[in-house]
Amino acid sequence: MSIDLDILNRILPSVQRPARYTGGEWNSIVKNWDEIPTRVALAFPDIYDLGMSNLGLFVLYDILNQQPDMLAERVFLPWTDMDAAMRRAGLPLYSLESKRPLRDFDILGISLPYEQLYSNTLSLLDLADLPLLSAARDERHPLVIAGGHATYNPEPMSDFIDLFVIGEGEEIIVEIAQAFHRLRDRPREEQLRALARIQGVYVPRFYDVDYEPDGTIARVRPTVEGAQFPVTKRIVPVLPPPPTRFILPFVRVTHDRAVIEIQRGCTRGCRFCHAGIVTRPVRERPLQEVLDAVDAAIHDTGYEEIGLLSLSSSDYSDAQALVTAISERYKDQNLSISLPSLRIESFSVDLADALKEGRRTGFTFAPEAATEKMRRVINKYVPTQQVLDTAHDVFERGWRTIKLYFMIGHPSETLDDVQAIVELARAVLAQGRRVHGKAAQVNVSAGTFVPKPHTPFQWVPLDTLDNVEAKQALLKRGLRCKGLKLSWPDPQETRLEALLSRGDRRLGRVIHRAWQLGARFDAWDEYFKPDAWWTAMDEAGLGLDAFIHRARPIDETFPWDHIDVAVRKDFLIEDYLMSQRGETRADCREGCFACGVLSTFAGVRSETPAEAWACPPVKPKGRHAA
Amino acid sequence: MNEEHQRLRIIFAKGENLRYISHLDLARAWERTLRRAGIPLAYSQGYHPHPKLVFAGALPVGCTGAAEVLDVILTQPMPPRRVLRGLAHRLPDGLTMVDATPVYRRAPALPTLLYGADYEIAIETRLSVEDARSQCQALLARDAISRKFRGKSYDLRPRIDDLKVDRVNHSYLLVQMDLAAGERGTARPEEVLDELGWAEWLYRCHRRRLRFAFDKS
Repeated sequence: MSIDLDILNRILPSVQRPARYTGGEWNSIVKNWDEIPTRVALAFPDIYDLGMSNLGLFVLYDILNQQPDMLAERVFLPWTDMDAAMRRAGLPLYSLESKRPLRDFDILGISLPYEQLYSNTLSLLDLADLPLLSAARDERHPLVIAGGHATYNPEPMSDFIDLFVIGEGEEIIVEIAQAFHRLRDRPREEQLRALARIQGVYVPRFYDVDYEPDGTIARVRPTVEGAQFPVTKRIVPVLPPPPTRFILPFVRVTHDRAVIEIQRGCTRGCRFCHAGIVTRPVRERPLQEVLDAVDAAIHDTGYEEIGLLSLSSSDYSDAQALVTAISERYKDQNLSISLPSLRIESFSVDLADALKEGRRTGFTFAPEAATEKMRRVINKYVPTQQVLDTAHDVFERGWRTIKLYFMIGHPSETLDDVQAIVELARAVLAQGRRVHGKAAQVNVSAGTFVPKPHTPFQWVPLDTLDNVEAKQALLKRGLRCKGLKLSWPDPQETRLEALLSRGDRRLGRVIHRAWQLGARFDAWDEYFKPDAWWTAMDEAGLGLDAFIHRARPIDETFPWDHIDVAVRKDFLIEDYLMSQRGETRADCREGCFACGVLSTFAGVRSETPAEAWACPPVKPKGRHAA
Repeated sequence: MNEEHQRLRIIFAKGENLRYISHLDLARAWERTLRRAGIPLAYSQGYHPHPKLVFAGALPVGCTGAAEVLDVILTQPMPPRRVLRGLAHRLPDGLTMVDATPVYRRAPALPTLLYGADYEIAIETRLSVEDARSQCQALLARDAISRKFRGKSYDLRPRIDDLKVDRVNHSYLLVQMDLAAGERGTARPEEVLDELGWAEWLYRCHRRRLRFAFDKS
């Protein structure tokens, strides 16, 4: 039974942007509830405006709804005004398609792309009238599963999630739904034991964590037969055809466009980059498949903007051919096609120019560092002259705004390195002034480095609050002039991100308590409550410093070590030590460093064609020429 | 690239499913619907090209509409039948086609021809029909109804063309409001309800039709 629609209709006129809560969008899929045995709710723990821009959730929606015996519906968190109105009216959280309470679904799949969504996840469960703790739920409640980049360290959310999906979800989601259907009448414990055998599934309750007296991790142990150890991520050997029937939101959302992933994974080896490690190996979508998808997307949606996504678009083998084909085919159609994540070089400007991207948006580059030394440390080597030459090119071709991403906060960094950022930004502006005079604009975004799990920097401490504030102050002083704009994250938000991304199971109590103290929408400046978090840490008797400010010895066991992203710890250690010596590594397309992906997935690799992966091919074992 | 070849007048209904979308949302939904239907919409030139869609009048958020009017400029002429066929199965839930007709390209812009808007407002109240009707008569009998909007004073009375009430059931009354729209000045249903003291009882708002200057002859 759907929720009481009359009550919903009474509330809607009183909240902001009521169309967030009504569904009915073009391409949304409403199946016949009574005729479909397996029902999955896919949730993004933030509001519609953000969740609708999440491609991962949509990929799963598309795949599940293609199964004749399954349905998938969307759930987003209501904004605070709607949350209050729903609670007052006694309305539980419901899905957009059939307006059914979340409680009625078999499986609740929660997308967790970043850690600041953790407190919202508790709000989601609470508003759905579900017990927050996995241990307090059973077969009468939906199975609560989670996936997404934050789940590569699943430990902090272990108390609340029944099952984590480690890795890519396209195949595993159907396997889990099918297995669940076979087990739907079994007790929850039995369901989880069976599901735990699916490769890539991590069920936290089947593992125990032993601690050393000093609070570090001694070991993680599986306690149940069949629980994988380590849990190796799932990958799809070849990217399946991309979804094209995007749901068209009525209201304005953050990224309101069709999105086609042109390639997954990255070979550049930037040491701070979590995504570049966990999404390996590189698999490109064939050019024709991308072109067909763009065509289908326009036809299925009517979107005026299409984004072609990857971690490093310049590395896509057919980048030039892609751009040429697209600009030719759609030249008279008032379409905006964007290809972001380009390298800092003239060729990128050629590509962007060919796409006839409006000059109204800025051109974005991510140099990250501004000195030789720091470039070598992070392994993202773009010489200053190259940045300036490319900037010059961009301005010459008509763009007036350049956006630059920098990163501060690595422990090897000194104030001189930060000063160099100021100087580089000013030099880029000077280039712009030469061409556009006062109309030139340089927007600098200075992120704060967080040492992420599964990267070569996972042994590195987070910069202290004092250091970060001093560096940010330096940037603010140096970049305070016409034509320059600086944005920077709240250092407290960075500390929270670091805590949650590097934490272990003991943080479950902290997350719960912080939520009780009012932590919500942590990614939103106006809602972020650092005091709720630090109070929760105090109450749990846990010190923030130990989690985030401690440099880790090479032999320390991390809370996420039992999650295998296929890149060997030895490889990361080697890369970490190289960074300390200022040594760089080349793009591994030029020569494989045996990071571990190939050996983990040798069997899978041997069954794919050579050009399907950027990793070298592996000959099938035991097969001989006929 | 974007020469104008045809002006097409589309009459459509905005239904229950779209009640809460804003006018801008609706305009965007139309642009995308036309695009996926392969209907060759013309765009303006310049830095921010926008599609040449002109609505007669914005429908307030929270209202449905039975016969809303929109002019679109196409880069190629297209017989209305083809337009209707293209749009069939491509309209989002809640958007229904009523008609499509070619219109003389150089005719005056649609908003300048807008004359009136007729609403059907359901209010939730135990007030008797007789009492409701006499309150309406009292309002219509006034020489002037002065109000302020964004600091400017104006008289609402000449903007109310007609006001009638019927009972639906013991909980709801149906108020028919025929109001001025466009260059005569626009009256909004909430203002009329406000003058009657019925603003709190608003349950549903529906626009039955728009009236145009060319209707009068």
